[in-house]
Amino acid sequence: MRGTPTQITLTVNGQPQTWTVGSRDMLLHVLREHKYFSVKQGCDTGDCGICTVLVDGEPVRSCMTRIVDVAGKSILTTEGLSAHGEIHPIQEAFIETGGAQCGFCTPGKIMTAKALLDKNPNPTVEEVREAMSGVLCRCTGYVRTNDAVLRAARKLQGEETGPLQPLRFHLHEGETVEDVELPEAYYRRNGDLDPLPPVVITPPDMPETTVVGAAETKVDARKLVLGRPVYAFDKYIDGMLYGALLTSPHAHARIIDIDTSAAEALPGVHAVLTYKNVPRVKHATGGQSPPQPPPYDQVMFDNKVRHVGDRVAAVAAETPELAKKALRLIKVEYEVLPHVIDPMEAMQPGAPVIHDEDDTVGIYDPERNIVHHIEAEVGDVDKAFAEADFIYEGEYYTPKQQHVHLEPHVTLTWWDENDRLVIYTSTQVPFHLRRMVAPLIGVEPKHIRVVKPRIGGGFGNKQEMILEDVCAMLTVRTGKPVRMEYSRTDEFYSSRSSHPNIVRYKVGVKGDKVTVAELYLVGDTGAYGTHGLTVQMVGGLKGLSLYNPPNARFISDVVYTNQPPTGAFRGYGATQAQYGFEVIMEEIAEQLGLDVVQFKGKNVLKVGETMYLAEKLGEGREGYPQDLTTSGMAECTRIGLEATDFYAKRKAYAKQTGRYRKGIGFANTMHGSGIAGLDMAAATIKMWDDGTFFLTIGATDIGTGSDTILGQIAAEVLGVPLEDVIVYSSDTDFTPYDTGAYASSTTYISGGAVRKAALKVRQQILDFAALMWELDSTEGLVLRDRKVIAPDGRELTLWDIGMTSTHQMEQRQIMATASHMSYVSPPPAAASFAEVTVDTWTGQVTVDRFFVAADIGRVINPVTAAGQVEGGVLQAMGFVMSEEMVFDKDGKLVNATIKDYHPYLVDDAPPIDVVFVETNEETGPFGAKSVAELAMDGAAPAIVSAVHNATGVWVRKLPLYPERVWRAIRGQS
Amino acid sequence: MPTQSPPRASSLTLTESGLLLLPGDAPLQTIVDADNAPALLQQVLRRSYSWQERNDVSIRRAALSPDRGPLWAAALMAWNASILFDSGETASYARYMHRDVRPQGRSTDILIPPEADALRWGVADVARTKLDAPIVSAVAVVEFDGDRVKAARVALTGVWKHTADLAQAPTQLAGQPLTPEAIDAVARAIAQEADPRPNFLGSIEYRRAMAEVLSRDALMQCLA
Ligand code: FES
Ligand code: FES
Repeated sequence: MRGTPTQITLTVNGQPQTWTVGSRDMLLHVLREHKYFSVKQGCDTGDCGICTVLVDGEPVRSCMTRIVDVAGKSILTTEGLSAHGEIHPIQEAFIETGGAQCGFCTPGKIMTAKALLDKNPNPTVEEVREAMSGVLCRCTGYVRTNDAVLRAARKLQGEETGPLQPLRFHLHEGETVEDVELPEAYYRRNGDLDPLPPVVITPPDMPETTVVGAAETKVDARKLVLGRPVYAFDKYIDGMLYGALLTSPHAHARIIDIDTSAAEALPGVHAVLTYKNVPRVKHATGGQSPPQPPPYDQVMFDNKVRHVGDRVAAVAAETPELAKKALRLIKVEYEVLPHVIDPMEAMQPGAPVIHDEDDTVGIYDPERNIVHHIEAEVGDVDKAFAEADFIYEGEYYTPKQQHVHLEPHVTLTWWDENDRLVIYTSTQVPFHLRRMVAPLIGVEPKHIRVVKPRIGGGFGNKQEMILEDVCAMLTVRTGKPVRMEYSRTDEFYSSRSSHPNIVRYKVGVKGDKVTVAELYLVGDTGAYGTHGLTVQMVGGLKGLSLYNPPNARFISDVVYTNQPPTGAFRGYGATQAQYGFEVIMEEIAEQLGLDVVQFKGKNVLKVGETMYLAEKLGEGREGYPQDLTTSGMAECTRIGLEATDFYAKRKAYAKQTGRYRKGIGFANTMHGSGIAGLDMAAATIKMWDDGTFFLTIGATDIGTGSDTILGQIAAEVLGVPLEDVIVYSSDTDFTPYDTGAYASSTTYISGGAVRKAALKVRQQILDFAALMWELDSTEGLVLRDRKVIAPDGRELTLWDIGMTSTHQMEQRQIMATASHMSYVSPPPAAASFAEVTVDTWTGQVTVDRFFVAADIGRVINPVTAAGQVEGGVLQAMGFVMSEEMVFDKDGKLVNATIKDYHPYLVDDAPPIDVVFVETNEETGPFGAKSVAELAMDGAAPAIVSAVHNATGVWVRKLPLYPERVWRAIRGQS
Repeated sequence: MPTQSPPRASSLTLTESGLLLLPGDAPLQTIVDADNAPALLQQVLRRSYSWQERNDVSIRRAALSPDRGPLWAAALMAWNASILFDSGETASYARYMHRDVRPQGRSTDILIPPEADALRWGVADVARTKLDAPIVSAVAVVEFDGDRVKAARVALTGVWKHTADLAQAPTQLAGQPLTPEAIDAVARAIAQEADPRPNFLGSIEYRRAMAEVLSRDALMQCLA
């Protein structure tokens, strides 16, 4: 309670309430204390809007509204929308459109929509965009959330709507994508902003499926739109302690001494941790398969800090306020050391040495802060350059981007009744965590259980041990449950970010063929190495494989600086490296007077070709040979050229002379599907006696819809609708192993495991049917529509089989577990098209439209897949246009708030249209590849290409701040 | 279920002195909802604040702490707003924010001239994205007397020590017809007058250049 205790009365969701509150308490916190958990917190500083509730019908930010100011007023939260058990049409619309991905922003969106539709039952799309702009969403790209509001308006007026359906084109024998006629709306000739359904183009030879490919609504959608307490953020345990971290105010300093006596003496403080009282166990925090890539350059607490925000101490106390007070009582004596923020300076002789400790092994050159020096080469690069007709060099720069998942890192730990340590946490890698935390806290892995509830977004930042080790240690020391959470500021300073890269390409061309390329990447890993090695290796592989020259050299220096550490970020090095290659390819085409689309098309990796560098560049180790087996790249390009009227616009835009100039750009991109030879997933399916199924998977749905698509894969094999498959993920005690949600592996690797497990269960069902019918074999038996059908027309329902097998005859549990891994990682591919307007007098670039045609193999669920693309594109657009963590000379962030950092808001976003051109990837489940990271890669090169079309200049440094563009137009760097 | 709130008062009060009263304690949305509020202020509020913010931030707070909505402060300055104190004193909003005057008492409400046929206005800004806070912005208000300028004010953000401030140069337009040439001269003078502080979004040189471009843009809109 903050301020003077005061009694107030108010109405919440129609119920009168009398509460004693603090005069300075905020509505958000009081509502959550009273268990209105639909009200979420994304920042607590008024910047995200996800805490929106209605006060007397008006949307307000509950974190910015004092509780005493709403005395006597009527509050409506998402719980109140469906108070009588009936789901509200707005909630229904969010389910139908896939408007709730991770769902953490969804209650705020729904309440804003409610306020809008109460006032304006027939809003235009422009009115929806304006009204909804106060609520940030990091997952959806806003296409489906806007769609949901427009649909809700129609529903409220009585229109019957069902789940959003894609627009489908099934090609017949002899037809190609050129025979597809997209409806006029997809050309967006009038600049309209309406959300359009995704398009799926299916080739003639694609085997038919029923549940796979259907636009099923997400299996978790209902609880998300109802605002149920399904996140770690919503979990509180009676008697728990609150953990808090003291972090460094200095970019680089040695801790001479630390005095915790005053904090420890504070009544209500149960533990204080510092480097003095925790074991010094060297480790890396990246959630990766063992043996984890080196270096092991971290300890739980150190006597040196290496970035502002680095850990200094932790406390556990009975209230959050006490914990903060205790932190203030800790006296730290620092010896401030010189620091270095710039990676090029960090490599210079005499630069401050960031890791001078003698117990970190595996740093390539500690004196020059070079963590890793990577070299890989195929062919004869020097000879090929000597023989090239033309050599072109270019340098590009990509920024340090923060994930800004709206649910912060939250962890709770406790000892359960069996003396096992439960870690209940917002993570992408529960199984890795279990293994990684154990040695740090001195508890054997077998005594640790990690539970992942719903996750409010991750994008790579939860592929990391961030709070789990400290929280667990506090529970070990106190014996009590402990909860820790990051604030938004902590997320910026003390979690992870993408790797900023200096990207240098040298490319040799003979005729119109790229014969040789060299890529030098300088990756700034920040204060610790975590994902430094693997991100850069992926950058090298994906960057150089897109146009796959037979002679290729990759060199990378991964460099320590005194910035907050980087980590995994959707795109994982490929986004940075492909940006450079895509742009330099266009620069070369321009120099040589070639058509850029044809030039790229001629050189892009094609089916049957070997990715030359794949064997040399795995993730942190050697890789495996990879041949491209499927690619819809050419078809994707064709569709995009047509839908954007690319050539006509390019030509027209090249002649502009006025202040405002339009441009259109294009980019090819490719990604991967899991880590070849490393990622592994398992799935278990059991059949209940009622003939329905329970699928348990270690795969981690972080809002992507993976539970849904994995359920669809199981349902397809088992001949049942999705509603007959209950999906549960993930809990290291109760679900089988999975490496986790990263590397675009879930559909391909976890999906492979689910399919295998389902096939085993299917066989058991058929065997049992044969047994019941006394047949010698299962030949000719068909499993579909919840039945086994014999060739002679006899039928057994799954209910019959479940009941009989469980209770009556040769009683047995029909159940199977299967594992899956793959030595190949088939690349999904996309052609991206951006249209922009550039104000040449100010340098401001506005993205007017974005179009993506993607080959992700078989589209298991067109709505969730499109959601991944739309959200990825918008996240990438932030990387191109506005998002960069910027540091001052002292190593402090100058923009550590959502407002200053500025991810895209609803009305910032252009319309994003998605077309899927399916291919049948034989190694993937039902032909699927992957989608989540591919979406990140195309925005940067396509937008930069469009700016070039508009202005004639190349802006090689991202983000495209207006001043950078303005200077480029004036010929200044 | 809670009942719908009654519709908000849809008009701002006209004071005896012929000014519109923006009630300090009322939410910003009051101005957006009012049928007699100047369209400039409504547009700028929509540009600067989300719907939620307009509901939970009071007019006074937004005026006195304009960091979250600098364009709003610029619009109030250009619109010649004054600030009312519980001592009965009033002060020019621009001068108060510039700390030129320090009236007695606590600020209560804002007073603004009503929309008038003889008033024209324009707004221009540059930002990373449409809804991002402007790097530099300009709001111009020109009062006409027949076909001549009676008074012209251009308030800018991102080019001063303060969040927003009025430029001096536009005063030279008084008594003249507003022409593109006159606007050019004023815009150039504003760029000279500007005293920007650099940050990662704009150097001094860039901000000065934008002061000229955006002042010109805003004034040119007053020509229409
Ligand atoms: S939590 Fe209230 S605006 Fe972010
Ligand atoms: S669905 Fe909006 S933040 Fe995840």
